[in-house]
Amino acid sequence: MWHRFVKKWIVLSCMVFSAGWCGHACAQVVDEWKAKAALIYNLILFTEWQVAPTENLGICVLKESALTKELSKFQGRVMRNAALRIIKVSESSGFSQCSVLLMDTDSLKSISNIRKNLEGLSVLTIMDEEDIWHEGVMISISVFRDRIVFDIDLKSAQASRISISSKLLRLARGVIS
Amino acid sequence: MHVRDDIKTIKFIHSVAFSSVTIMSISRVIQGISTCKARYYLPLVFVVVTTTTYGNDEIIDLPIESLLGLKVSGASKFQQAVANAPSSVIIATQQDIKVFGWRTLGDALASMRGVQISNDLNYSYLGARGFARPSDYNTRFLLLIDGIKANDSLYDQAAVGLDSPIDMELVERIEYIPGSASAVYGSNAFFGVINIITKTADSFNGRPYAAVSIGSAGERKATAVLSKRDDEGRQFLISTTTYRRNGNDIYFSEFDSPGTNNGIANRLDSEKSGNVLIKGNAGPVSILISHVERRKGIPTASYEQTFNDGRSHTDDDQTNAAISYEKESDDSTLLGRLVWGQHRYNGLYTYDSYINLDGSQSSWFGGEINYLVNRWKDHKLLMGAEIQRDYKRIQRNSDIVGGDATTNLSTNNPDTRVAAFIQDEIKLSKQFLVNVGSRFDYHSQTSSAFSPRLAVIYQPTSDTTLKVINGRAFRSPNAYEMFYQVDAPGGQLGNTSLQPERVRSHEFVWEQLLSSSSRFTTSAFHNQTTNLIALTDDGLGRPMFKNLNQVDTQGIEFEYENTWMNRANLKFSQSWQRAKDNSTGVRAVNSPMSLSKLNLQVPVARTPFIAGLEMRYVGERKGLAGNVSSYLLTNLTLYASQILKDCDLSLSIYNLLDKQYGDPGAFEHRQNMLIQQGRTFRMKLSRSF
Repeated sequence: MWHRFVKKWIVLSCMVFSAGWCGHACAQVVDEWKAKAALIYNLILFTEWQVAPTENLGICVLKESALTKELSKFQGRVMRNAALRIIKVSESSGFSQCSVLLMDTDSLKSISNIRKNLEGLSVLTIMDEEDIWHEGVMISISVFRDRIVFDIDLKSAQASRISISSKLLRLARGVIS
Repeated sequence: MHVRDDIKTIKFIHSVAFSSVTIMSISRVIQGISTCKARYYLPLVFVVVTTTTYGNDEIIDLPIESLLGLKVSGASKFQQAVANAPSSVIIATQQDIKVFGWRTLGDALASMRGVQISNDLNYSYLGARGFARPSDYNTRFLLLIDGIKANDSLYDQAAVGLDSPIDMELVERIEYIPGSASAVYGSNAFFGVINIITKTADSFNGRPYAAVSIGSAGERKATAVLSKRDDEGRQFLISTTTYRRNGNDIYFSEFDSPGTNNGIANRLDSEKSGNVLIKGNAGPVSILISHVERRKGIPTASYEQTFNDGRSHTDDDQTNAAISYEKESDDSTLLGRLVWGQHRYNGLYTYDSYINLDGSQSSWFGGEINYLVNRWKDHKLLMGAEIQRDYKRIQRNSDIVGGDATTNLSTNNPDTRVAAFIQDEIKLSKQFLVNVGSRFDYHSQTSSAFSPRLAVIYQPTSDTTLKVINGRAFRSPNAYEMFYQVDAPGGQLGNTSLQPERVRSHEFVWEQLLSSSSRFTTSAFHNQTTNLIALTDDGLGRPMFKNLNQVDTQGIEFEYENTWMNRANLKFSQSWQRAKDNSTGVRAVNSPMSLSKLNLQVPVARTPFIAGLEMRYVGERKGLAGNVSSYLLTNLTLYASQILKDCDLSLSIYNLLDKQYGDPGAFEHRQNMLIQQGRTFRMKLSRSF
């Protein structure tokens, strides 16, 4: 019985191997993180800071993740005369170099601390994968029925002297104004 | 604060209202874990979706509108939270259903780790982790449709064949939660819970949809769906399905004599069924009505019937209706629900000089309330109460000789079930989670039961989850086991003193993410079933159900899953298990020592097709009169989405290698092994309008 069993799984292993081979040979598909990274790129594109970033446009991240990995592929791209830079910051410092701050649900634990440190700065705050609105988060991105959606808190953005284009407001799922 | 309410309202319309039923069922499945706290970097279950192929540089150049329209592969909130569930949840998606050509719920479940399906050519039976008693009508599994119980109230049957309430065309996702879950779900959640998430108007983009298929043995099926949705999130869907199969000739060696057509049952394996599903929601209120009816020819001459008599058949129909109200606030979710259901069965059994009519009708109504509270830090509290009145549980049996009927049985045994449960998920630290819960069930016709469960979930890193789950579950004897009494030759005795059967389960689960696209799960389990309700005899040779056996099952399972960038996906699982009847010391009937499953989907290069290859190995099983040999079943489907505009096509070959295999018969069969279908084909075409 074991003999037959082993034989059978050798055949199956060959199939697995061939599937893996095809995996490398075939084209890539958009995954959630790629699409989200591209969306964040677009969000920045349609956002204006009262004091426009010069030289560098810092996208700050609190930790490394699949999303930041995808985002870092846009590093160096020039947008309105400023080059995109992915900057790793801690919850309590380094925010002055940020034009954008990317947060996730883990950041919620220290949200009050983050908010305090953002005071007076003009930073677009983007929250990934959160369906509930949190004070100080300007744009929240989530996946709903396999599609990416985002919500905008216009009031928060205005308070930080950031203006978000009407195009984004139109495409957002929900807007607080 | 009022601002927050604004956005909550917006989101309610956009997300919660769309899937209010789903959300609550999810809430229950993940045992009270707030879906919004899921970590985005934990895609534990990989869903292969149909997306357009884009490279890294192309996607950034897409207009934002197109970007938002793209379907993304990745994990939904539920799937991420799976890590915290006190079980190792298994999920099949609608993509899997299409790619592997699954026609019944049983087909989908059969592909899952540790699950086995056997078929006696009349009903399909479900077994899990080595426990699969022939002819038990799946009473040890709880079947939910969008979180609503779909087991009937007389047999407590979880129908997984074409008698199942939902047509597979209407299934969005199937969640299977292995293990004992009586602590939340009560009776029947003995070895596992199956939750079917049905499609919504969103799934069909609010457009009409039709699917037709034809196959071997005169199989044909048609499904039509109409759906509507509006900007305020209100949705409505109605669907209808009709199915028919003529059936092939089947040869049974046990009947191979000139007097019984040389063992050939001529096209008696026929089946026809129909389904209707109506669902809708407006704001916090949702309704669901499902109806199924099925007639199945019986080719096996079960219960000593005359062989090859085309009149022999069973009819089953079931209707379920529910209206739910769900209200979500900042720190709690409240779900209230009223349900009604009815199941009818009529069997016509043929004998040389008479016809036997066997039938039942059960009707029930009830209500449930669930309350999920997130108010306290590090606690997620879920509590609920249920009441169900089984106001009709009628069983009858009569013999028709000539034009005269003799009544053998006519009984009605209404019942009331009341239950309450509470569960808390306590976050001890960043890594440690404790899930503790218990439930009390009262049944007016039998004893009450108390079912506790304790699970400790440890996540040393974001990629590793370890779970230790200990629980107790029960199953109340059903009305068939207690009250079905035909005191005549070939009949059966009732037993009103039956007690609930119980299981103590211990499980250890290790879930490991190997990379962002591969995952490994292993589980070791030990289930000790006591007071098992089994058919035996009363000492005078008359069959009767008694609390008799003690069955011990233990085993180990592995599963590996990998998704490649080209959408190819592989899932492989292996279970080794041993089920032993402690009272007799012998191996349990219909329990294979080894189960292996392989599901591979690969896009076929330069074509719109995805190939879905499915292989299922079931080890040798003990039958009632000798062993039933092992088999390896292979199914192959070619599926193309959008082969023409809005058209999908699928071509399936089931039992590709034409392997002759069978499942063990039960006491009512003369056959020790019931032979299953050889190679068959199906072609399916679907279109959105």
